[in-house]
Amino acid sequence: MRIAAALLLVLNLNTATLKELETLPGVGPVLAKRIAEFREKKGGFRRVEELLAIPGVSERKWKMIRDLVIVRPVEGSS
Amino acid sequence: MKPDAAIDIVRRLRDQGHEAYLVGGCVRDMVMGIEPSDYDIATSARPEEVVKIFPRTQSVGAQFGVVLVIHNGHPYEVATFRSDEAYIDGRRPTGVVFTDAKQDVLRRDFTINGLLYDPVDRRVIDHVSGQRDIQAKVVRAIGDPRKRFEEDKLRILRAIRFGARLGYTIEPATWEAVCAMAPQIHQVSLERIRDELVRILTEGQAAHGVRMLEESGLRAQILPELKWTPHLERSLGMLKAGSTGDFAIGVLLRELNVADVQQIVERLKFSRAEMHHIAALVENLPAFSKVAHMSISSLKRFFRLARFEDHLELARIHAVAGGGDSENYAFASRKYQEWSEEDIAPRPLISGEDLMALGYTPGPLFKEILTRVEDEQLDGRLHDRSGAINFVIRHYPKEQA
Repeated sequence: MRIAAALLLVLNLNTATLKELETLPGVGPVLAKRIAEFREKKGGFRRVEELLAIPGVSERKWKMIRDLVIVRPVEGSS
Repeated sequence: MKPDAAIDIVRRLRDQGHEAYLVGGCVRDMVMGIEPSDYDIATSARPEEVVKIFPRTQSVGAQFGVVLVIHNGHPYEVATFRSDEAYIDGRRPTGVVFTDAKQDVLRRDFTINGLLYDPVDRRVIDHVSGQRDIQAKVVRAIGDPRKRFEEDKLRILRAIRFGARLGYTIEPATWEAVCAMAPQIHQVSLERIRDELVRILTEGQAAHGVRMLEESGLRAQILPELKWTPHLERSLGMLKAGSTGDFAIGVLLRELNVADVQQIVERLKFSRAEMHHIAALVENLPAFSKVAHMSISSLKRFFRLARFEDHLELARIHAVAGGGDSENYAFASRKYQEWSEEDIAPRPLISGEDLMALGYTPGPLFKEILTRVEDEQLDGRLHDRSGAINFVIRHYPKEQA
């Protein structure tokens, strides 16, 4: 079941919608909105670890989420 | 983003007796007068020391000595000065050695990305003549281009991406290496090739980027199905920086047949949603030539395509770049503006339950009746529930059903 869920739900943090973000464990509407705002402000995620900069994403929560998301580039430097 | 928090990180590292600078793309952007979106820091401090200085950190590439530092609510990559050992499989170094600032810069890809900035003394430290190349608008590999590309084959495509993004030309020796090594791009995973291709198309000057892909022979390697045409170049010229990747790929592939498009998007491992959108863009483009003759209901159904704005924009590009005619585009655009969401997809007047209540037996006929009623509604001939019920009773006598 967990594997099936992981296969279905690997989200690209840079394109996921609010609804999709809410499917992540420990992510409700408020946190989904914060993730989207962070993404907007920053011009996209470069690494999954950057989630840790968002208030409400504890190390514990991040560990639950990290295998369910990927980052495909939108913007970046070198 | 403002550099304040990044500068504060540099200060704190220095207070502990380490060397530290801003490095890479952010310095390039600052020299160019663009506000960077990310700041990276290079330091003499070892990862284990960086972790001790800042309360919130996450190791993101322990083997490369990269630590993500969360400071004032923002993430910053703090990397220890290093030089890379021999590369394996054309992409990853076998190991790294921690070195000094100069060596750290010399291992990087292009001179424009090899600048250090000392925010305390407010000066750029340039070991690679990167400032000269920014002035001259040139992408130049640091050191021997063939060696740099040999280490990491993705750099062949990255040279073109920076050229496209910044509107720069590629310096002759670097260009010669791009052309000579184009066939080796296959050593890079298709996902990475896809990501670079998307970035070449979406970060600015897509036409310049794709022309370089064509002239270097990379296009033939990555997209053998695609033909370079004046149409294509003009179309790409209309692609705005910041477009979504799937839309950009739709513009790139719009003149191919749908079967080739399907094959390409599967090969490049686009996500299901992206594949679907790209194929839909190409597949529905010809329908724009018929919009003026469609019934209102057909046109409204056409407008219900997901992300219809993209379809419309592709039709505009197609018309302006040559190939489509602009009258049909203008007609579709006007209608799309004119109609509200509610006009295009109104609440159904009746449902299957209503049909059952009227005594019809559920079956294939239900769909037919409901579609017909919706057509009448979209065409503006039915406006309310009672009208719809009368319509059904009149057109579908029960004994016939």
